[in-house]
Amino acid sequence: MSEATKVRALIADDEPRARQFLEKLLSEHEDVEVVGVARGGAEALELIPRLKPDVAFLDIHMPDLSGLEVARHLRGDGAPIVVFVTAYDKYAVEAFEVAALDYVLKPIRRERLADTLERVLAEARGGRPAGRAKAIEAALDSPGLRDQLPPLKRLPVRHRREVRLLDLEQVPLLFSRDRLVLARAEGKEYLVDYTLQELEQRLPDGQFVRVHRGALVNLDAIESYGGEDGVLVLRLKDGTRVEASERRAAEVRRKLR
Amino acid sequence: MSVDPRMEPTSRVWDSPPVTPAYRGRRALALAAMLVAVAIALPRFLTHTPYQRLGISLDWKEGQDFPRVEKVIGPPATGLLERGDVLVAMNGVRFHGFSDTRQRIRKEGWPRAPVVMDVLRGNRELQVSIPPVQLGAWQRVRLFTFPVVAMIAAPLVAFLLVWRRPDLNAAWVFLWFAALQGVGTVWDTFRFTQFEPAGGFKAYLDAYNALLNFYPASFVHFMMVFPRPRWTKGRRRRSPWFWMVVAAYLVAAGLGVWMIAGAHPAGQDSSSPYLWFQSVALPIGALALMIRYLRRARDAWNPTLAERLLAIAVALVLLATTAVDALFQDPGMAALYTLPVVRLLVATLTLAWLCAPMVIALLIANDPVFDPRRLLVRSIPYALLSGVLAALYLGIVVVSQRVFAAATGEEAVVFNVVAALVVAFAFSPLRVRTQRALDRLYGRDPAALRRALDRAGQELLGALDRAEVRASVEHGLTSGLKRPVAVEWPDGELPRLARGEEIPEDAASAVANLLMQAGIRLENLALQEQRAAAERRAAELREAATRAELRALHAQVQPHFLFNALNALSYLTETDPPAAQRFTERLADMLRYTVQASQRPDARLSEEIAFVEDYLGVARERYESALQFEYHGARDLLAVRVPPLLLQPLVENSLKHGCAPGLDALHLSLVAEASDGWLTLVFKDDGAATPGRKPGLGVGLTNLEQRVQRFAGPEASVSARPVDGGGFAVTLRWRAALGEAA
Repeated sequence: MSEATKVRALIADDEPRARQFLEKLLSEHEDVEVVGVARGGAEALELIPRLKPDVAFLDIHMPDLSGLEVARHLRGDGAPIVVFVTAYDKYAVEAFEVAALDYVLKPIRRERLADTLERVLAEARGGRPAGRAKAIEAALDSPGLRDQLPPLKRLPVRHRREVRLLDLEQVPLLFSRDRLVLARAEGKEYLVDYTLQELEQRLPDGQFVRVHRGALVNLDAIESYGGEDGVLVLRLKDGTRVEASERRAAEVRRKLR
Repeated sequence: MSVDPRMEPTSRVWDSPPVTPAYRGRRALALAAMLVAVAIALPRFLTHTPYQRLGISLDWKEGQDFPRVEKVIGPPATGLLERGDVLVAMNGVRFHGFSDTRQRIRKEGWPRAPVVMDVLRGNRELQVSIPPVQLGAWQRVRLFTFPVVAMIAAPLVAFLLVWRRPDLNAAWVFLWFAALQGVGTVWDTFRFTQFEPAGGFKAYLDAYNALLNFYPASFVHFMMVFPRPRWTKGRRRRSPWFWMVVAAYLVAAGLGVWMIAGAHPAGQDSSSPYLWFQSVALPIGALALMIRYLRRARDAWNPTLAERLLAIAVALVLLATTAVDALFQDPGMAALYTLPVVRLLVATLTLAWLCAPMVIALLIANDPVFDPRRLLVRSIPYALLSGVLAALYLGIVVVSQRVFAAATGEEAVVFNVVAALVVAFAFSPLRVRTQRALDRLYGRDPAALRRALDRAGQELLGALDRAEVRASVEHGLTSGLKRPVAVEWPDGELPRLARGEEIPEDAASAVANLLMQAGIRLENLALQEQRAAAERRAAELREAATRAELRALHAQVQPHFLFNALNALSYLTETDPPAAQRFTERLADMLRYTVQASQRPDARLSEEIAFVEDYLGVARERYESALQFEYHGARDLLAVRVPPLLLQPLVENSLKHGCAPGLDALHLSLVAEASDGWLTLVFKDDGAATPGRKPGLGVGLTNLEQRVQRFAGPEASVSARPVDGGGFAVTLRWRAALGEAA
């Protein structure tokens, strides 16, 4: 990338004023060009693969999908540099400091933004250090931050090269196979970027139940259940038959009641 | 949904199930089975003799042509032949050696006419005419008392076991086996016919013989379920033992059909496949028994050394009998029978074999699954009593009559009356004494019982929970009565003896007292528990209220809201200064109310509404959608007192859930109503119906409910539900003194 080319930026925030403010501040830098504005996390996930920005400013606190979740799904060569924008996320800020990630606090200050942009420009033009994706992952996995994240209202899954957001009621079953976690929806299977244990914590309370080591079942998707030879068997609306492990059967029964 | 098997009460072996109609039916069936067995055996018993035609046993000396009478067993030889007589010829034809004699005596034994026997007695030659056998039923029994007793005893024990526990399959199998053995022993013992069977009677004998094929199969079956089935319940198809039983029955049925269908050429030869079958089946059963009793002790399997030895002895006897039976089919081996040692051995074995079912019955009786102890304890006193009384009666009558007759030379019936009177008077004290003697025999010592129950009572006072109360009562009863006693522990009632459980009369009141004590102790424990629970609950409520209050004070305006507002303000100051000024004022009003709210006990509804307007004013600058708020309600209700910052979490909730991207307007409304002393506030929005919004209270609304209850009492309620066509409504209700507010 030559000196003359501008760095392409994308902004994701649910508040219009915040988007306008950041757009205005960025437009003051001649090296930066805002190529896209997303009104939420889902829209950001949609726009980024299409627009391929060099840098994405992600607000953390977005109602549909947190900026942190968005960042987690940005991987591979074309992934933008992520700059988090936050009003008040004590744990996130601590985690970013530890992982040396870029972030900006609201209200946004010009000097701080300028500093950040300087680093981002250098990185975008000089080839990116490989550790960024790992740093994001490490920050997301820090215990303080993990507990603060709001429950997932929609489930981001990989579909071909894109990320899709599935409504939770579309997903009857989440399971692991060959060390991969897959979500079943509309008869297809999608790759999920979370471990089952993370999903258990991150999905809204009481909607999914872990029936054995390798499967989470959506309670709303259960059509019937019963004991067969002392084993608890769940039948899902799509016809799947899932056996609960002995260890978890009692817990599953309790949730089904 | 299947019931959790762990929830079913575990039944203990000595829990007597109550007698149900099904039980009665099964008992009737057992009785019928016994009667059928008797009906089968009786004709054979009455028409066949236990020995050959002559009623003697013969002794063979090496190299002799003629047999010598070893023993006179019974009629018709009694009085005609003597021990030591040498038999020379029958009906004028001389005997030729052992086998010839045997066969002839067997074959020519039929005729109802007398046989003429040439006999050498000492040095004299005699001709004796021996009439046909005429044996009365009583004579038959008396001649072979022991086999008859053995053949009756085992089925009788089995029958009593079935009577006691008709639900146990093992008891039924034992009855089936013992009945077959009894019937088989009748067949074997009374084997010499007094006439040529024909027609229906021959068919009966054939059927009888065919039935006996099931004896080895029943033995295998019995050994597979004795004393517990070798297979686990519901999984018997996976057990090789089970299939062995099925195979045994199939072979038995096959043999029976083959015999009845007449596939065999002559009567005797038919027994050879049967012998093979028996030679295989009996050892299998005996080995199963041995393996079982050689097994190491486990939780439900703990026979004593004596029981193990007895069982193994039985198995060995069965094996030896089978071997001898098989061996003596060979004529060469049969010749050995003439040796006294061999005869003694065989006789001993036969005796032991006849005893085997009774030993098995004893093993069963000792097994807790059957618990026939009660049966014995209940029937023994009466058996003893009858014996004593009968002896008394007979003694008086016989002795007195003899004495009287000797003295006067006449007989007097008066002694029968005297004896009857003595018996009548002696009955009651004798009964008590017999009972007491038996009690002592069974370790039911009243003093020991009292001590055990006293100790249990002491333990009760220290018991801390239900389990400990149970343990001390059950331990006391078990050690006092020397047997486990089933006690029922219904919830909320006094414990009581299980149905069918019987306690000796002298112990009944002491046991009842102990149970009463236990009940009282349980009640006390329950009361204590209730009181403790109530205290815990009260403490929890206090704590929850405090927590709710703290949370309300801490999180009245979320920092997110504040910093986002400042971000917007920062933008507005550059792009739209008048708007920035309006925004700052609203933000300031909002913050002022928030700060004050934490210091005052209540607020007017109008103040809350003003706060909502300010809040939305600030929010309006942050969101694209138009935010509107309306109040519907009587003017005088505006002055009603409410908890401060009541509406703030509701507004925040609506904005959080209701403001989906792409929704261009959000209408909020508050409806206030007062009726019958109740104030009802309904806060509604028309936002998006997102999946996260379900009926019921989330954490935030639960906090709100706790605050409202702290403000207006425990009857106050908060409920939430989605509105048809999108949106969400929260209803708050509490009892309010509206007269004052107005």
